[in-house]
Amino acid sequence: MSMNDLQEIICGADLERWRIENGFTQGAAAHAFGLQNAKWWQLTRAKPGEPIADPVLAMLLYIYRKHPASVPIQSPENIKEFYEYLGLKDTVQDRDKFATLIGRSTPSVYRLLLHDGQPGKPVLRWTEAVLRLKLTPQESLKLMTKVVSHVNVHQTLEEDDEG
Amino acid sequence: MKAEKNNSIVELSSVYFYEDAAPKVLSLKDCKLPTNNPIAGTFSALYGSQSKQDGFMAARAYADKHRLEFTVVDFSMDLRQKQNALITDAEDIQHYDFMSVQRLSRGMTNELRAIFQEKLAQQGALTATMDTSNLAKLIVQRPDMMVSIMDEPGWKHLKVIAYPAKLTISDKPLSIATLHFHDWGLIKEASCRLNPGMRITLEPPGQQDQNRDHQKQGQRDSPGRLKMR
Repeated sequence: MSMNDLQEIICGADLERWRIENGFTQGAAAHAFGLQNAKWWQLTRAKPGEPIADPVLAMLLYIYRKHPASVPIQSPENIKEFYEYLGLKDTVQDRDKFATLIGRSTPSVYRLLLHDGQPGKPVLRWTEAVLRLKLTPQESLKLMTKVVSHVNVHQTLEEDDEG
Repeated sequence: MKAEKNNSIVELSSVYFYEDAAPKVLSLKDCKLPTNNPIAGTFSALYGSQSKQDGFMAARAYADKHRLEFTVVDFSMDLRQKQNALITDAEDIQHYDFMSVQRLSRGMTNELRAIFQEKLAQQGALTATMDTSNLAKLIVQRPDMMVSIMDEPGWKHLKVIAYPAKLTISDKPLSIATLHFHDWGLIKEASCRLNPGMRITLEPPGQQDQNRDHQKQGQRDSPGRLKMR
C-alpha cells in the first residue's frame, strides 16, 4: 500500500464509480458495503462529494478495487441476465435447455424469461453457486450440465414456486 | 438531484469521455450520447435504469479500450405530464408530453408502425426485404424516422420520446430519450455523478452545434469521431 493509496480521500462518488464500473445494481452495491439502500443513495447521490466518514467503507472499497476476488458475488437481478451470461439464445431449444439446467419446467422458464417472473430462492442460490466459481460461461454451462446429469434421474421438476 | 418521484420529471443520463484530467466545467450540450445515426437538432441521453447501467458499463469498456476516462452526467427535465401507464391508447397520448415506445398498446404500436412505413415509402427507403413487422427493429435502423414522428399531427405535442437505439459505444440497443434543441429550456438541472467537483452548465445548443450535427447526419458516427477532451 503506497502513501498515495493511504492518502486518497474516498467520497460517495468513488463508491458510485465502483458500482457502475462493476455492473452492480444499487441494491447489490449497498449490500456489498453492508449498507441500507437509503444510506447508499445518501452517500452516492445526495452527497457524492463528501468524504466517507466510516473508515471501513473506504477499506472495503480499497480491497474490492485491488483484489476483485474479494467482491461479493451478486445474484443476477434478473434471471434473463444469467441466461444471457451463459450465452443461451432466444430459441425454444435453448429455453428448454435452460429449464433443465435450473431444475425447473419449461413453462416456468417461459414465465421467468418472457413474462418477467421472479425466480425462487433455491434457483437464485443455484445461480449464485455457479457464479461464485468464477468460471467462463462455457465452463459454467458444462458444470451445470454435469451436475444435472448426476442428480436429475432422482428428482422431479419443480413447477410453481416462482411468481 | 433529489430522488423524488414526480410525475412530470424525467431523469436522463449521458456519458462524457475525456483524456487526463477531468474538466472543471462542462456544458451539457457537449455530453450528447454518441449514437450510430446522429440526428441533427436533437439531443439524446440514456433513459431507464437498465439502459443506464448497460450504457455506463459500455462506456467503461469503451474508455478502457481507448485509454480514456469517462464520467456520468445526470439531468432532469420538467415536463407537463409524462407517460406513467404501461399502455397508452390513441386518446391517452394527447395527455402526455413524454412517451416511451416500449410502453405502447398494440393498437398504438400498429399505428406508429404504419406511420413509419409511410414515411419510409415516401423516402423510397421501404424495400421488399425489409422486415416491417417489428417496430423496435425498424426504429433501431432508422431512429431519424422515429424523431420525425414528433412532427406528425397528433404526436407533435410530444417533447421527449424514448425508444431503442444503437449507440456507438454499445452493440446492444439501449433505451434512449431524445428531445429537440428547441425544447432545451425544459432541462432544469444537471450534475456530474462521478466527479462532484465538475460543474455542468445548461446553455442551449447554438447554430454551430446544429450545423455540426447536419454535417454528421448521414455519416456513421465511428468511435474515433467522438468528441473527446
